[in-house]
Amino acid sequence: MTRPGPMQRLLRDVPIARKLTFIIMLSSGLALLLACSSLIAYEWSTDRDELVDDLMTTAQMLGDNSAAALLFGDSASAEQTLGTLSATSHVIGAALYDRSGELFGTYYRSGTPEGLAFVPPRVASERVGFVDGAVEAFRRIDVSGEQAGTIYIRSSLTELGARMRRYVLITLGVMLVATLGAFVVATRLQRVIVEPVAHLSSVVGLVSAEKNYAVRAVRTGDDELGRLIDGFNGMLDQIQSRDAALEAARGGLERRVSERTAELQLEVAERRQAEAALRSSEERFSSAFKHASIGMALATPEGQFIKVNRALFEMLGYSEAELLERTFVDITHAEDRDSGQSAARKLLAGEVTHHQVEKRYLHKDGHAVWAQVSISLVFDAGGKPLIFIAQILDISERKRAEAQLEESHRQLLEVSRQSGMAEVATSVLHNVGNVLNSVNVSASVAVETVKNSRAASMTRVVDLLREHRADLGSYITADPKGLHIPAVLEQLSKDWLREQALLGKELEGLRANIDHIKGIVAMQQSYAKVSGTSEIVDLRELIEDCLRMDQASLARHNVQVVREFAEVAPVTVEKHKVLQILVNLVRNAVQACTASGRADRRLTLGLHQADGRIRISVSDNGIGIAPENLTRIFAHGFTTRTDGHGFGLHSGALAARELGGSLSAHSDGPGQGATFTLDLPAQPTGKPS
Amino acid sequence: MTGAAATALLAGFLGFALGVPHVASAGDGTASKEYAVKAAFIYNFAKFIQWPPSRFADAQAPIVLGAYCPETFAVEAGEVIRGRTINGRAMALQMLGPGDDLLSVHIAFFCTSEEARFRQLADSIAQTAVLTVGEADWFVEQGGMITFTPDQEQLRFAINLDAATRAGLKVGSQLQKLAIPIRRAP
Repeated sequence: MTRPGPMQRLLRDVPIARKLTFIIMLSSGLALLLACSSLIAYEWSTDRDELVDDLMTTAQMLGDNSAAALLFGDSASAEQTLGTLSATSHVIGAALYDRSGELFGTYYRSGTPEGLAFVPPRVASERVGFVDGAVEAFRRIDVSGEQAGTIYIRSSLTELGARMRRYVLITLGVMLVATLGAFVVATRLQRVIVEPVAHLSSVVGLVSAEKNYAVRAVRTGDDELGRLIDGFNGMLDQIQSRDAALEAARGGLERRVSERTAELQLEVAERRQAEAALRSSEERFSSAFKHASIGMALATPEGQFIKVNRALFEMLGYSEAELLERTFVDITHAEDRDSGQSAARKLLAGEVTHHQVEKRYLHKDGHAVWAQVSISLVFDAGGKPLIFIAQILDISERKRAEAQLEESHRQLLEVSRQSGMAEVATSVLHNVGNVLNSVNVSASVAVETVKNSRAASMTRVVDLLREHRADLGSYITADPKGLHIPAVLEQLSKDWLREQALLGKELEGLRANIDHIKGIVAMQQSYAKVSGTSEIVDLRELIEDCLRMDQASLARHNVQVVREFAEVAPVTVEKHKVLQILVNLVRNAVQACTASGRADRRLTLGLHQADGRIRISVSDNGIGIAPENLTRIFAHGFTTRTDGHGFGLHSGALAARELGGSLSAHSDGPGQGATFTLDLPAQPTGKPS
Repeated sequence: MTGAAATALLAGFLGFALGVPHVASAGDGTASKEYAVKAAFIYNFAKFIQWPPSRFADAQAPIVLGAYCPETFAVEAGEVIRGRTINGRAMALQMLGPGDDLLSVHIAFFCTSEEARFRQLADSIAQTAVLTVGEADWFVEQGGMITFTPDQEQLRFAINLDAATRAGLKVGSQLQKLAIPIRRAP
């Protein structure tokens, strides 16, 4: 409903009959007033326009009539012409001006105050307008296209005013009569509305005063009032029937209330049971959480612990309260924090539902505790992160076991490396043994030579000479036996000279072999001595040393050695490791050649440098390597030889890696020979060893 | 008061009103003022006279004023008509002498000194639409159409309407209204 305006407020408490009369009178009065006012306004403006037109026409006519008089300076004729204005009652005065604007003739209405007060104004250009309660016009006078002068006329508005006053009076009279008529009609017609309303009002009063819902209003027509009365009667009908229904319902309601009360009591009991069940379920969960052997924790999405179990806080050495003050980040080992936080972000972002990792926690006393952690994030119904659930298994024992395994593996590697060194030693002993063979042979030859010496023959000759001491001269010259003695002596001296030469040669060889042994031993000692330290090495010499060590074996198995050495600058390297690897490779190559059974056994040693790397290759034309074995040969404990221990290539590869290099194998297949390549960094030699 | 005096007085008034310069010519000042006023009147007459269309070659053809007058009139009339038009027509001044043809002019002005010529020509132009203007009283009485007549202090004129109508000219009512009545010969 809109707010009532001032008019509505004024009429609110007035009886309807008067309201109606007032409304009708006001509307018809307003309509009349509007109509009359617009009529008067229209008349006023039309009259003014007519007055102006009239004035212009008069000016035009007078101008034309006085043009010749102006041209010929006949002012008498001009004033006579102006004098005709006396027939037009509203003209106050007029004036004629010649071409140059000088006053030429005037007229004024005599007998009126306005006319007597008329003074011709100064000439002006053509215009018409209302000035000081009068209307005035200036108009040019033209003759044959040339200006002859100007005419001015001033006209009174008195007549116009009088006419307007008459109009207003007539209008007021008409309005008065019309208003009276409207009042009479309104008074009669209002009954059509007022009487049914009054009737309805009295019935309403009766109903509310006596609470008698049986009365009915009488309907008078089919308009809105008729429908209002119908509606009112309908309402009374409904009230009557509702009263009856209400009475009937009251009895049933009490019964239903008691029924519902019983139902509610049942529901309450059920709910209590459900709550008890929930409580016991929660207790079971809580108990399981509390006593689980595995560490468990609940935490907020920010990582703050909400609940932790005994297994967890004992694992980390905290009390429960201390741990609850901390976050996941606080108890995580510094090195595992970043990965832990990124995992938490992924969970929060919903990228993963579950995260499992092995990580380190910090024990309260600062040491790391290895644990296997399984974290999941629970979201609420709205998809918001609610709680982290973490299960933490202490795997410190397993980690310790792994560390021990690692240690034993390392020790095994050490053993194998030592075993590699043993091969070097074996090789040295082997060489020494070979040289000792030569020493043995030389010694035997010397022994045999001495044993088979003709010293006994010399003794017999000496005995014969002692027997014939007296007749020594004749014996030698005459005796048939004695005649042979000079020849025998000559022969003996020749034999002695020969034996002397043989023994000298053998002893010389013996000394050379002993020197050789000394050299081999010294060399082995030199490698043993520098073990573990780097020094500047000429790799060609190193390879030659290696060949020297395996010389006996190469010679025995009739293996031809081919050298393909490029110019390579000395490098800084752990000498004994390279030697160990090469000795091993040469040993393997010789064995491969021998096993092939071919006659032209060949070993090719290469030394090359490219791209800052040095490559030493050991190629043979022996039995080759099956493709499936090419990678396995470097594995720990692998061997293709029945008597092999399998540490050779494995330790060789490890040693190569320790040198910053690598060891690789290539073979075109069984029977196609094999090439092993030791790849080493060519470090600068500027650093003094 | 003599006619000449009245004319001079009027000229002082009209000279200003009509834009006629009333600077006296060297020599005969009175005569030149009188001629100036009369030239202005003749010019204004032309505004109220309607010639038959056949008298003009076209709509722009000038109204030719022929004058049997002294040189002084030519000077004053030239001043009056210079640069002005009547319904789009300029006015041309033609000084006439013995033997000149009046058929090419629309207005013929006979000064007092030359009035004798009118008597010679009157019959020959009676049927031609030429407005004849003179200065003597007898001029209209003897077949002239307009003549100047001093009346009290004003210069006035008389019109022989019959003569004009016979020649095929129409004289505007405004002009007729201002003219003084003709004194018929007794």
